[in-house]
Amino acid sequence: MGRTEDIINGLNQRLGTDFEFKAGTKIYWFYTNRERVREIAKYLTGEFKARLINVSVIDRGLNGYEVIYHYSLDHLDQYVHFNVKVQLPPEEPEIESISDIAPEASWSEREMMEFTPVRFIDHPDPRHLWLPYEWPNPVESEKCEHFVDKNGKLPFAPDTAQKLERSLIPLGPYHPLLIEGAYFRVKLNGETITDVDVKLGWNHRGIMKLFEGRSYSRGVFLAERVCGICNVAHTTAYLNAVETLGGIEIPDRARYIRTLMAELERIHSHLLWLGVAGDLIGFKTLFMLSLKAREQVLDIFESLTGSRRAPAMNLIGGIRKDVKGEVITKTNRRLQTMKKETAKLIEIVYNHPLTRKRLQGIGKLDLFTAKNAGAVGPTARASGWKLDIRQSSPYAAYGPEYTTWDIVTDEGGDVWSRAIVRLKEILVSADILVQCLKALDNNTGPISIEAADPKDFKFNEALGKAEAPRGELVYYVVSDGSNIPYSVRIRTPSFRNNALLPKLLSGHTLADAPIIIGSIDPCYSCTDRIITITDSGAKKNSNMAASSQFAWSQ
Amino acid sequence: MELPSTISIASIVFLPIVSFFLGIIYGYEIRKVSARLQSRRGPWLLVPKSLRGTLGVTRLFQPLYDIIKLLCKESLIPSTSTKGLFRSAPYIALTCVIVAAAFTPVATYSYLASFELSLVVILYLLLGVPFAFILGGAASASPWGVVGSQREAELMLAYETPLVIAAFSIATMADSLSVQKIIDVQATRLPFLLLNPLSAVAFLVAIIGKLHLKPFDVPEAEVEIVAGPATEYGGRLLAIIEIVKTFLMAICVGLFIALFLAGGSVPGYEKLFSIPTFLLEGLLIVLVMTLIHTLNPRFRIDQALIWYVRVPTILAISGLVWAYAFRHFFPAFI
Repeated sequence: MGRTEDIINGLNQRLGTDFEFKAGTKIYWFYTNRERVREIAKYLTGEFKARLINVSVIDRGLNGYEVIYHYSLDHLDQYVHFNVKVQLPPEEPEIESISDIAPEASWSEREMMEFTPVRFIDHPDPRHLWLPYEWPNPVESEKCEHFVDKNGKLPFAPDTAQKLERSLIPLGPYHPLLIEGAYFRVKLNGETITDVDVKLGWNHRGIMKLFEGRSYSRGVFLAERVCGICNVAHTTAYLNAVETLGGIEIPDRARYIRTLMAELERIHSHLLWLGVAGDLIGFKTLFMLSLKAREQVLDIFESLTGSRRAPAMNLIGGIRKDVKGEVITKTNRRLQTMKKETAKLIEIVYNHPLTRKRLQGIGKLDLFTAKNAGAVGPTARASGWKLDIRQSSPYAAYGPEYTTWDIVTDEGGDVWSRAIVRLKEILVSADILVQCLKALDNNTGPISIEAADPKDFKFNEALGKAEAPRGELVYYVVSDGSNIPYSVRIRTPSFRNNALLPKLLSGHTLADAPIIIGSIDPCYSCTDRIITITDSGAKKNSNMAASSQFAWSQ
Repeated sequence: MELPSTISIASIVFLPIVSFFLGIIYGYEIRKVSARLQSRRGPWLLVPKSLRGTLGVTRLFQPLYDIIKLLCKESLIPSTSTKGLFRSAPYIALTCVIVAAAFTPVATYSYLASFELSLVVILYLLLGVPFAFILGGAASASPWGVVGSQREAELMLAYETPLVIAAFSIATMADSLSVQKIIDVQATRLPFLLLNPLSAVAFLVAIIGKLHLKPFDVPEAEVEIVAGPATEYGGRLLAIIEIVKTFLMAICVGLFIALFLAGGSVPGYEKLFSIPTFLLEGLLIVLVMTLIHTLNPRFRIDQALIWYVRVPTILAISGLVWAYAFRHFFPAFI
């Protein structure tokens, strides 16, 4: 743990009295004042390669606002997280933005500016995330500062298209490309994309606020409904946080069953992705065949939990229903069928000359950009970054004492690599599943323990993480000792990966746009947060957040 | 050319109708075969007894029912479109294909096919269809329509070259531009599929592009540009476009059979016997096209263009060279 000590000592030396430190179980909480935030960001992300995973703001009522910067070092040391907290007075809730130091902060800060009155000063792109641009900004004020861009033009006015030399193409919000609502405004030169403007916000339901009115156990159902595809990952991450709060250690059997559910979900999600990716390059047959293979997974879900999706298995302190007896043999048999069908699909993708032609060499994301912009999940792993929450912060039965498996990475960084990573992950997941089923068959034990009373919670805040099929999922749960959470903040993997899209898209043709957008497996129910603009013309800025000038008439 | 008799005039009227129904059957075959290959059911050929009350005995004419449904619907004209052009483009295409259908022999029979330049006329009329689509897409004032038209224009240049060269090499071998003459040459000797397979492959690939089947459905790539030139069309106008596509399918397949398979005629047998052969050959060609359609993803437009230049165009040119060589070495063939 040399690195962690180094960081704490370094911070102590640099910050002196401006710094207070509270240790958790490898998750450290710091209290500092707002002048020091940028310095800490530079120190942690620059010298120690920490990942900024989220920026949360907690409304403390009369006590003002609490800004929390969550830094993760678990890709270097297991479980290690640094959380830097700043108290802001209610009458002047202003703090300097760190988006220019850590570009990942950009959207989190914008999100928080919309949710709370906190202003992040000198934010490079302080536009709305979810609200339409026509809303006053800040929301409390009556002025519409960002109603027009710097050329005095409406950013999303429909009639600008006719005046432009190059054509403007709207991909969305309702378009065959995506089932969910997202709006990519694509500027074309012939067929080549020169500029992309992304506006989301069609699915925002304020689900984080809903958590604050429900007891911890009801929060599980709510977490399950954040996303239709990765609902097990959401409940697992939420429960990881809540169980850390309460100091609850779930029994081994529950760990295995949670892993079972999560890996089944990963397989189903990746197979669905393969199908959708096939559809996006016009390969309907691949779509049909992979949905057929996915049907096996849904059948397993149904036989184990009674529900094809949204199994509702996870509870605080364990799981709902045991997996034992005959159903294990049946599941094993179904897994074999699924594996056989998947092997066939992999063969199609590998050997078909046209899928190769369509997938290789497009949407390239190099390792540096992936790290800099904070890619997560298969998108990061396809760029050669060995980043997997299942190994960096093991939860459920992912630790080496329960199951053995390897992280799948690929060096290419293009759409093809992302496809390969996902396809290989299906096989790895099937392997984990077999191990889990074996462990469940051989052992007995309780499936859940008594949940602690919220009054007796050991901590008053906790981070819960899980590796969703799309990447790192973070839940931050704050307790005030009552029976409902004081605040819940969610950072979904698609939130991060969507940030990469404008970068990945520009320079490619319109025909490649669907598969590049699809290659990060975007989930807009999860995300629904972003607006990003790149300007590929004049400025090539590696800082995603700073490239906000969208000069239509250049 | 003597004056046409009443029967000949009746045949000119009758032939497009036959072509249309052939197109419907080919359309059904594409739907059914691709559905079976994708583990789906597709429209029933023989509806189970329990469902016959609602579905009828067969759904063989499912593509026709779809067209009828569209014909019953109102077509909306976008306010920003160039209305005259937008409305007339499908009808221009329809006129082209109906006339072309009258020229294309079905089972060796067409009165107009015996006209000296009938092959040229058919190729010209078929060229009218993408032109009309391009006009319609551009007139719709939809960005999807415009991009689709642009792609259609690019793709047209790519597939028309091998199509025309391959057809011309056959005309060279038969020493005639009359489709009827080409059929007659084959009927007494050997089909050109065996004598010039290079041109046959080039022609087949070219008509796959012309019919917008995968991997060449770039102008209609739904995830990219919705429906390309047809994006803003709906109701009756869309039905006209669908009818045009149905005709196009029958004409392209009929032309292939005429040029390479002796129009379905079997040497030594009556002309009437060519009807089942023609149908069988047509269904086989559509089956081959369906397999290619089902088992391939879509090309990107630039990949499609490069591929068309690299493979079918080279094949077609080799076929043309072969045709000249053939005429040089076997002058007694004609």
